Amino acid sequence: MVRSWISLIICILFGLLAASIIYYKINVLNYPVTPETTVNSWYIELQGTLERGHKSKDASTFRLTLPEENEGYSVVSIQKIANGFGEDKQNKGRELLLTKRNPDSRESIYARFLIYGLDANQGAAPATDKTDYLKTRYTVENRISNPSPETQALYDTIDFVIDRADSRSSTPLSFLKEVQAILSEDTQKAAFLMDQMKAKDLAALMVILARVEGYESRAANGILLADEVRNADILRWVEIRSNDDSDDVWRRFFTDPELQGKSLQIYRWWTGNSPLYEIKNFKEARLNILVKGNQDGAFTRALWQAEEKQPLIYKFTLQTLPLDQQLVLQVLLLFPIGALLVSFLRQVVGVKTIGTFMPVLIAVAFRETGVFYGILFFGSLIAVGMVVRANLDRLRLLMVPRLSAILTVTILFIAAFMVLSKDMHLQLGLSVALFPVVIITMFIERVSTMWDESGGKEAMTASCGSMLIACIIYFILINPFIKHFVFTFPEILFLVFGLSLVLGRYNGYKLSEYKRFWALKRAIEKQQKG
Amino acid sequence: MFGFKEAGIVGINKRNLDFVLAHNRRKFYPNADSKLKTKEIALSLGLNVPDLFANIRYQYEVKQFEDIVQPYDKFVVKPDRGSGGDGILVIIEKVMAGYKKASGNIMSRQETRYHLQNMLSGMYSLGGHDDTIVIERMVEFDPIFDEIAYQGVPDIRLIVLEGKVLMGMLRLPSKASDGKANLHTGGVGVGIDMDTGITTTAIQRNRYIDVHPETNKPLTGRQIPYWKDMLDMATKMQKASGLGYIGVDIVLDKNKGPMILEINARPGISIQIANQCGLLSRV
Repeated sequence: MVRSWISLIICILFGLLAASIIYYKINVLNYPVTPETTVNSWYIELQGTLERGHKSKDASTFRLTLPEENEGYSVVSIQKIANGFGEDKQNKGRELLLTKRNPDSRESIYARFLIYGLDANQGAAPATDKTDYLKTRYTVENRISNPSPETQALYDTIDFVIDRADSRSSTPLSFLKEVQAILSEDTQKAAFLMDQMKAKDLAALMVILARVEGYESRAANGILLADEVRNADILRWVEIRSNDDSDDVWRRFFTDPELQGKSLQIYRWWTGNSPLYEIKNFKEARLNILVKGNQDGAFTRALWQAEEKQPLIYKFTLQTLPLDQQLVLQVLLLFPIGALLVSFLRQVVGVKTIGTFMPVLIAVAFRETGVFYGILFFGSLIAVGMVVRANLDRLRLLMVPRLSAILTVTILFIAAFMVLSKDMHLQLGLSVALFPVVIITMFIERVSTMWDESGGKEAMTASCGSMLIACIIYFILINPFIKHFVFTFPEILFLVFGLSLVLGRYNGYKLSEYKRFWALKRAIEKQQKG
Repeated sequence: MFGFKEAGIVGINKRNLDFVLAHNRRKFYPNADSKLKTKEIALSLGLNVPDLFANIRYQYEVKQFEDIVQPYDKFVVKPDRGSGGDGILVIIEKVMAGYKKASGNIMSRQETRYHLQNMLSGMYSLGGHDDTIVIERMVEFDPIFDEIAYQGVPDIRLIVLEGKVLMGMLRLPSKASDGKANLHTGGVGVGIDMDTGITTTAIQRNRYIDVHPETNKPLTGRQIPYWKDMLDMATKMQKASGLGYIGVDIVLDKNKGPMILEINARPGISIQIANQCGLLSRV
């Protein structure tokens, strides 16, 4: 009795502790209780490898253009890992210069940025931007007075294109459209202009032409934002200031006709004609850009923006961890909840399972395959495993080698399955990860041993029980609300711990025992009356 | 709820918490889990046990199995740390093709060897750890149970709590249980009146029955011989084992009378159904 009371008291204390931390986080620190349904924040990750060039006395350098704050997005955090490199910010902090004197044959660099979309009413241009977007030496005032015939020809071509586009257009955007139309009609003129003005591409050329016409204009570079992009391309476009309709904004114009007229969520990384990165004394650089939506947008923004006045509790926030660790922890933190559920279903309800926490492991495996295909896939795999085991049984093998034989066949089967599903363009088998395979093998062995000892009925009951619990836990694992809540308020696990203790002292009947002992109870009651 | 508590019924959680965990200290578990240890304890108390023929410890000894059992016609092979009667072989005759089990089925020598190897690698044992094999004399059970036992050894299970025998049950093998007397494999359980040692009600697979399913002979109203001696033996075993709450399995040998077969530190709770009585009302 004393032990039960102690367990209950510990549970209550831990529950109160969890509740007060959660209360504080929600009401004082404004942690979000639910995940955002619309993603307004993104992680951009850069993974790069640098190949060393010829031996040189000079240091090897890598220059990266950093993401800039702009009227649509704010950059909240920058994390970078470049071991052994000297770091230097250049160009008003817009560029990062990494320097290393004797680089290894292959160096890797990593950087992560967290950006936020700003509300429309916050969308004014940054006050610090004093760049003159009209500056060009081809406007009438800036032209040299006695040009060479070649320069005169350039001036004439510029005027021709601009006048023609101007006469056909009414807005800055339609002006750009006309310029592009004219240039694509007359490729000779376009080539001549590009060559003479040393424009690196069409966008750069169009920026200059717009400026000559008197429009503030700039070239822009950026990426497409989406929930998950594994290999993002750098997009390039022309931006032009439109101050008609008393609505002072920069308008985008894509030179790529495929992107024109589409409403895309695009982040402007930097402006101008410089490349994303430049290398010196390195032979080659390969850069991979990953984009991932962040569901805890508002919260992480609060976290990063309030950096200087952060209470200590922020230090223990999981959202500040690197992305890959976050992803692992998000799942790991749900394990105890699954385990608690298994405890409850076994001790209080009386569901029979194979292995103690096997259902939790199966649920994790389901995460990789999805529950429908998971059951299908697991079911067929287990069936194959059972057949193999039944046949191996005739060979009279020792238990452990037999287990490894079953594992081998299971893996061959999975390989075959993957090849088949690839041929049939099915995606289901491809996501089977390392870990589920081991679980399946263990499961097969347990089921077949149970089959031998307790009969098929018992083994099937326990298998179905395991699968049922695995399904329930699976839906806990994939539920975005639960995932968010446990990740944001990991102290809820104090309560889980306390509840486990209380369950551990539960000496009441299992639900299944009411059925098992029903006839007995009736018989005893009859005796007591009689 | 539903008057279960009032009826004094003990559920599995209560058994584990308030009986097993509360009365049995872990360090004494081996006394119950290892059949060899149990035998030792019983012998030191001067109680009868089935004679130990041999103890196989290593895989290479499995090859010598035929030589080991050469002197014996009938014998029982058990995993030393087996649970719930799993893996037990009752050999009643040696035949050309191999060994005849109590069920009448014949196991080839090869099959037997395989079975023994599995036993050693812990397939039938608690926690799946490596195990040893106990080969012992087959009890020549008292003909008093002849008409209500089917191919195998009937035994008497007594539940003892801190010096007091709470409940008893006669366990009879059936066709379904393959010569074993364990209830969960389909054996028949018959309740016993504590004062008189006369059988009361009987169950198989949690259902009440009046006659043995194979022999069709009535199960109730039978006097268990040596009843008082058995109660005494069980209490002694409980005290000597160091465990506070155990199930003692006793077999009745035609020549030697009651013998301690094994003890169990986590005895099952179906005994309540067989006796139509809750364990709590006996505490």
